[in-house]
Amino acid sequence: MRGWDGGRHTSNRPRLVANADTDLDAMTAMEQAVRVVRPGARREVVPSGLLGMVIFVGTEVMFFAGLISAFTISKAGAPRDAWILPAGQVLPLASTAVNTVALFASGALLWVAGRQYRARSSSATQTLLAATFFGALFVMLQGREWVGLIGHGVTLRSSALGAFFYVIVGAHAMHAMAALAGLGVAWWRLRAGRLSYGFFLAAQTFWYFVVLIWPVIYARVYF
Amino acid sequence: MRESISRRVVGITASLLTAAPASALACPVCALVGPSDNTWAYQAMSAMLTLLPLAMVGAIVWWLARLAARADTERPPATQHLVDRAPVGGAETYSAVARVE
Repeated sequence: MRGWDGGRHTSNRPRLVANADTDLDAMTAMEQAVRVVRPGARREVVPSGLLGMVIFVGTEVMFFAGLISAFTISKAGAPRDAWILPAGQVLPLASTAVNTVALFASGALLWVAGRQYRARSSSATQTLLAATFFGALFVMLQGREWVGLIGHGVTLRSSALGAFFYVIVGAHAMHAMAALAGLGVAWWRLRAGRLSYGFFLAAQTFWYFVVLIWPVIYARVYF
Repeated sequence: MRESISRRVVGITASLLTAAPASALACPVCALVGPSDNTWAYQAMSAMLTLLPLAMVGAIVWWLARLAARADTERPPATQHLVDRAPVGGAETYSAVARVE
């Protein structure tokens, strides 16, 4: 899968073969023949970065599926009065719902940024920054909730529910921070005019995964 | 003789476990024990963990096949005649143009 560079001609290979979006009208018949009939030529139907990210996200989906499976079975087998947090604490449903809105806003803004990038790449800079900001806001608000819970004695060792809560939500927070780093790099490269379409799609896919897996975690762990 | 006894033991054990499947539970902390019945959780999560990877792999294969098919159909008609009359020595042709560039 070679040759995808988001329309930018950065390769040292012969231009005709290396770039998928070469203007066919400007090519001579000979050049077109080379492009079409070259033996062993590989077509790129998807950017390599995006395909790699999709496979990686697949493994991460299974990682979270394993965690949620363990949570569900443990909860189903535990006595009702044993599946609680210490000192009568409850998980912050309402404030987490607000955080969830911030996360969804971030995902929606990234979708808009993707459309802008395809139309004219430089026009997506502000939207991509706003999407990153809302994503960072979600992580910070989640961190604030954690500080409150820890202050009330809810820790990994306080109860089985507390342990599952920190492991599952913490794993999601780590993924969110990694995805935010990817979005930050994408924004930086976009500002410098060096962002490839493949990198943008990969960062976008990872953030969509973080956004879409969260409602499943929220519904399963908090309720 | 010894083989015959072993076969009988295996056969009788398999028959008994088939008749009483609760005795065949491999995990001592699994369903049907404890204060609540969590059989549904085991079955639902087993189904999820079995089907989810198959569904994802299938979805990725379908997605790639669809992209490849779309790439085939989007080939410009103006170049189709070049494919039909593709020279046998395509590699040499490519080399020649590469040198020109």
